[in-house]
Amino acid sequence: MKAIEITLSSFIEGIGLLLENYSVLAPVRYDGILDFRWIDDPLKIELGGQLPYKSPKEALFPRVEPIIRFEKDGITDACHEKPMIVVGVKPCDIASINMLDIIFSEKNNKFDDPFYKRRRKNLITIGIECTQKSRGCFCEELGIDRSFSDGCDAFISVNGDKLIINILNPEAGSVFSGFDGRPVESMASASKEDDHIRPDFAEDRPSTPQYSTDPDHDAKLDISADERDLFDSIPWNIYSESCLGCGTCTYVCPTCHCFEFRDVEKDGVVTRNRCWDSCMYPKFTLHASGHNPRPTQKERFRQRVLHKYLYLKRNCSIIACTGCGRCIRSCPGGVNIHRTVKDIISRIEAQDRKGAVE
Amino acid sequence: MDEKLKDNWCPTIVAFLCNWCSYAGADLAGTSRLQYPPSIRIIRVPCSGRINPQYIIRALVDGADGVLVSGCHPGDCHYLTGNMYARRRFVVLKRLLDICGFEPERVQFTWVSASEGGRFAQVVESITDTVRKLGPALPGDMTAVSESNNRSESVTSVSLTDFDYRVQESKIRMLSEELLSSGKVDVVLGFREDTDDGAPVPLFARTREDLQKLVWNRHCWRNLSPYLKQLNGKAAIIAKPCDSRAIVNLLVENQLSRENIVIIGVECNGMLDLNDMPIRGCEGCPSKVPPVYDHAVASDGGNEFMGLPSPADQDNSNDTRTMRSVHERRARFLREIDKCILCYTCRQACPGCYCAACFTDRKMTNWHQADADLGEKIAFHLTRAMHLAGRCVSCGACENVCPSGVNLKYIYDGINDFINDQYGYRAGIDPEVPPAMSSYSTTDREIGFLGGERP
Amino acid sequence: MKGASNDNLSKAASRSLKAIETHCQAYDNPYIPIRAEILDVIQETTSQTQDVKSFILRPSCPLPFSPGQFVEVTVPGTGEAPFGFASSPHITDTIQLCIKRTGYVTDCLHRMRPGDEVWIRGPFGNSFPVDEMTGYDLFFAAGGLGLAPLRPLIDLIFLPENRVKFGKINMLLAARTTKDFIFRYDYGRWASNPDTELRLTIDNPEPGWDGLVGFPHMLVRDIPFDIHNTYAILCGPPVMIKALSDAFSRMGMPKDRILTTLEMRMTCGVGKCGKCNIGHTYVCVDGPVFSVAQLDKMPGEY
Repeated sequence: MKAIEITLSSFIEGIGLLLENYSVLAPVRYDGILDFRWIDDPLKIELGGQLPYKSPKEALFPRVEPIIRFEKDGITDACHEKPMIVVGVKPCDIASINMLDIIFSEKNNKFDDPFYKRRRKNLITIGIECTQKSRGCFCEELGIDRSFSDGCDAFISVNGDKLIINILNPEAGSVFSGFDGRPVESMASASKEDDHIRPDFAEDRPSTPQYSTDPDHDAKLDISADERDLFDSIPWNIYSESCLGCGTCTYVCPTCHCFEFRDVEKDGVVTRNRCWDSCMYPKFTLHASGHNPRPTQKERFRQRVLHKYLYLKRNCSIIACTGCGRCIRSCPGGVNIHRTVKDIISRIEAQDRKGAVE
Repeated sequence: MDEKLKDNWCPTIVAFLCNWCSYAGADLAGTSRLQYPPSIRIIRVPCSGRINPQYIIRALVDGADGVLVSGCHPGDCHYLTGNMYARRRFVVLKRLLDICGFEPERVQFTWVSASEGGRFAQVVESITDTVRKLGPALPGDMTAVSESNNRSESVTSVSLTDFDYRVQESKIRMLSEELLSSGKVDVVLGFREDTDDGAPVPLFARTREDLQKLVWNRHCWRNLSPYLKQLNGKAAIIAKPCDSRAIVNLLVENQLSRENIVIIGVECNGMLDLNDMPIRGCEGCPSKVPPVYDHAVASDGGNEFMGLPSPADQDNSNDTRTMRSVHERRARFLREIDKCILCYTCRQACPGCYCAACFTDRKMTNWHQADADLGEKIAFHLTRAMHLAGRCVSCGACENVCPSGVNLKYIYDGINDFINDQYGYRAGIDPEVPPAMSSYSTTDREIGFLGGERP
Repeated sequence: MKGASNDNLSKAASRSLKAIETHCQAYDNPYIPIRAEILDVIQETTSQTQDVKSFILRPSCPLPFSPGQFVEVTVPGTGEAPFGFASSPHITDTIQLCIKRTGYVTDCLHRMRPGDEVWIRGPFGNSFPVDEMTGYDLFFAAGGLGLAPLRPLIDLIFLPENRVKFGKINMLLAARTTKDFIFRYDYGRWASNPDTELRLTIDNPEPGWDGLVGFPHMLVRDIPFDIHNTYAILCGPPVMIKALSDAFSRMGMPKDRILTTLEMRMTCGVGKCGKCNIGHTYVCVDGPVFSVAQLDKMPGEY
């Protein structure tokens, strides 16, 4: 595997050269908030800091994505085509991209999503190891560690003041041809200088990356129960009582993917947009007749938790949560999916014990 | 675009004319063969009072260069008082557009009677001329926008010694326990610690065991009043002044019944974020004591409120009157809007936004396309500001909960100050006074109207 | 703002277009619809509370489907909604959709005339297990608009070459009032089939009505049929389905022989958008046809 050792400033310069042919999504600070934005100035990139408050799913599954246009002579393609690079993707977000790959493929409900596929082929991901935990992170409980890099095209390890770009996908190697760095032996694991890292990461890192969809690996947060039982026996009310139904959790979540089509007419041409939708919105499942199978916040919160932790596990073997903690940090009502899932698991265990004794 | 800058460019001006006076006046101009520029697109409405400010906002966002609204002269309304409500509404709308940096001359209000054909032609000439000089409207023009310096850096130290939060906390606990155990309330709405070291989160305490988790400290910034509506039975709420003001507004609008709430009013002079910096939403808080309460918890835990000022009061960068030019105001507005992702968290957290079907959800009148481009964001925020005019209690929840850090409270504060100046009303003070925007006075000033007073 | 002008079209043509849809290429991408011309609009109900119309559409290319499946219909500029096929699959050049005016999209559809155009994509979903049902008696019970998704199955079975594969057929069609019956023009044809009995029922007695009166679940007890050799196919309001399937299973019918079809709010139709799931089951992919045995294993969020 090829690798390049490079200084941060040369790396930034190299990204700048790529701007001519690629759209680049990177963490930048805007008005004090660190977020993933499409950049025009590589100097603004901030690597290795906290987790940007929104996720890089914007590249593959944008907030508003024009997919087709209805014109007089037929349907035309409205999908974005310029090649894209996303830089500075931390391990939790790397795992989330792998999950989205499965969710939008025919492994999930038999159909491939062609628009997602096209964007995915056009995307190069440059990951980076995680050196700073954010409040509320719990990725380790889902089998993701800070050097997880499966699925990336390139992965940056931090070695003191130098970056090591491990080129994991040989086809993406040409992207780095203009970068001013020196080739080195690739390192299977990341930086050795971890004295300054916070105690949370002081434990030994495994030498091979852990994969949350690996059936042999045990993610500690694993809900295994019949969904009908969970519907009735868990007091969902207590977890969701302070939920305001704002949907922010689904917006900042790297794996949430529910969407809606909205047709917009402008100058006689109708564009169909695929827009983010949220299962937390009251009208998400509202029928035109007025019937709503999920009438209150309790049902909607239950849907969110079970969709991520149970249904997708059943349908395509992934737990669609990376433990990034974004929803916990941005919830205005203090709803906490980590706490909820742990509580559910302990209730299931208590019930199992009771059942075993009887 | 170039053709728009030619001398003979005719702007597009949408004109809302009331059927009985202004439309007839326009008709008379036509039959009298009076010439006026072909810039206006007339939409006939039964009364100027029927005009939803959203029509005007949508017209601007969808590309109109100007908007003209004309109704019967006050006192002559066919429906007696429609134009009186409209007058107040449009004065406020015009001030809102001004605060947000839309050139005020683009939107004009006036009164034209059925016999004033000549006057109508003059009005159209005048507005066309004005708009032509301003050039095409570019609501989404971002060229003037630049990044701001972070305003919160200007507030430095915070005094912690004036308030004894622990004493307040023990009094709150004692009151809650008494209310719950005596059966006077079914639930106590307060705060508890967050398991992930965040700010305290809402607690719905229904048992003594629940109440053990109750806390009160300087990080309890969340607004609890939106949860009152969903609770059954009687509820006690630990209400900061902002919560109490919100409750007053909800009482005025008949959304809550006073007998079902017990308000534990807690004095406050500002909350802190996790870095112990003052929370943005607290800046410019109009009152440090709860206006309505059943039990008082003062700054020293006693029963007498002291009303201490907060250090953040000296910062008046929020004051819209200090921003001189319309370009500055526009740049500020667009810079904030740029960060917005239309997640609607501000709407959900706002105690005043409680509509079962928000205008953004309605499809039968498709007010809001789900485009999330700049135009839609502008339309959403302007409409929300207009819906909150005279109703916002400056609790700051919108700024505190926004995940993108969008700060638009200065707009709502600006409108609140304007309504207070003009009509002597501020929301959240007195539950007996009807709201300003649902009343009118025959002496309302026509600020910014064509032929009226200058703003 | 609205309404195409020549100016806009020529601008559109001068951009580089990649026309995806011509005809059957649409099938590669389940999100791309094909054109369908409205040939005829039939007013089905005459009551004032329900406005139900049937639309006969000619898709621009053949759209083979199985009974129970559905399509997503787009009215450009307005939106998209799912509707079950209401015509038999053996009719290949046209399809029929039976649509009640309920919301934004259906309101626009109801104002359209023959000659207008809509866009459709599909077919989506699973279908009735016709092969498993051969050799059995059939009991169709439909309430109001619930008859629409059953009609493709009914017409398919009544084809002479298919009729012989099934035993006795009972049909119980319920409607709130006499004005709420749909597909009246078919009843005579259906009833005239060999070994077939068709009964109509309304909720309350009406002058001049000599058919049955009462709810289906009360009436089934008096209809002679072989409980042990029958497939029941139900569709209608959720309350009716629940009451009827309870009545049948109490009478001894095994639950995997009681079939129904569900409706849910849908967007994509291919199990991606997350709207139509009941537990881990997606109605647009694993349904909309389910047996009551399957429904019993699912959580009750429908």
